[in-house]
Amino acid sequence: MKIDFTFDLNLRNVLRWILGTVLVWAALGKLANLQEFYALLVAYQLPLPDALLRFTGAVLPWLELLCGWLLFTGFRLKAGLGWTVILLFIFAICSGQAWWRGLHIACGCLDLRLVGIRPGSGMAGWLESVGFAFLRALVLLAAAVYLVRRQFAPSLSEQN
Amino acid sequence: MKPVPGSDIVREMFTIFCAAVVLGLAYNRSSPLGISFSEPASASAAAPAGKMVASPEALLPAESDPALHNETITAVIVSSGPQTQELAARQLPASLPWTEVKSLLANGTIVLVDGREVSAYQAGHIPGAISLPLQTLADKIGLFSAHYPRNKPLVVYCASIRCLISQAEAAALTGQYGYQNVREMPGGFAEWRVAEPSVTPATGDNP
Repeated sequence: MKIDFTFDLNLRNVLRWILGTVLVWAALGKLANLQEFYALLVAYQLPLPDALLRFTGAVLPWLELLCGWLLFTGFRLKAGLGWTVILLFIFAICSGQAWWRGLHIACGCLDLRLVGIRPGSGMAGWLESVGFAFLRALVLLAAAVYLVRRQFAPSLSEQN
Repeated sequence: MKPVPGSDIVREMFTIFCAAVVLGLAYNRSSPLGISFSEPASASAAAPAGKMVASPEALLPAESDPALHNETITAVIVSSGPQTQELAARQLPASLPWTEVKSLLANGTIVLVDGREVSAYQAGHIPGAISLPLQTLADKIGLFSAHYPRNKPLVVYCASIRCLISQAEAAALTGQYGYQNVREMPGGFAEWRVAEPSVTPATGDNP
């Protein structure tokens, strides 16, 4: 049992760091050009007021950055995980509906230029498609939900 | 009194949200690429078609986004008369912002081509644009070229700055189908929506 517990603890840390890295990556790309991010939000053609889209464009990157930092450091982890689940759920809904509607838009999630992938290349088109973004959001959401369940579950010492 | 379970977490989450709002609005205000919360400057303030535009920067809205603007800092001279208009179109850069496309579209110098799927075009497109989806380009090019000769300047757009359809379609129209003057509007439908918030997108099929 001890081996399982150690493995689980490591898995939790790895998932936490992966989610934190993804959120910080997503935030930095948006913060580099808020207007571009706003234009990408508009491209989703969501039935939302323009003022809300502008507010989202300004605030969402910082929410991602704060969540990523909290996940990475483990500080206020439960609150950070709570926001992470909410954000990933919204990402999944938005990218999923765009995929369903057949919108050929970039998801605007991760700026691939930060890892040296040039926009316009075939690989970038695939990685930035809303279909891939939807599947990625589901996987990350599953990881975040797993972490929430583990984090909020009573510890072994409390159960005994 | 026993605290409600989870209330601490909700309070912490609210604090995180408030911090994000404060940081986001402060950063947005200080960033040169920040989002304007006031009504965007209308592109209708641009110089009218047919006039010489000495400074193309004057065509751009006040909150012009360099990312949307791309490399189009070049002089644009549009004068009346079909031959001179065509010549002017040839001199245009490979990509154009909406502020420049608007006047060219208004005076009939260019044909604006929507490269997105038909469903996206039907849901909403730039008024005056013609639907020519990249996916069905090979099927529809015959009908399109019957209406628009190969020397007619075209400007292709898709959804937004990161979509790749307009770039690919412009290349295909030039390389495969012999159109001589094809440009791209990289900001796409999203750039138009940002620049023209008061204009309702056109809906339905091709005119």
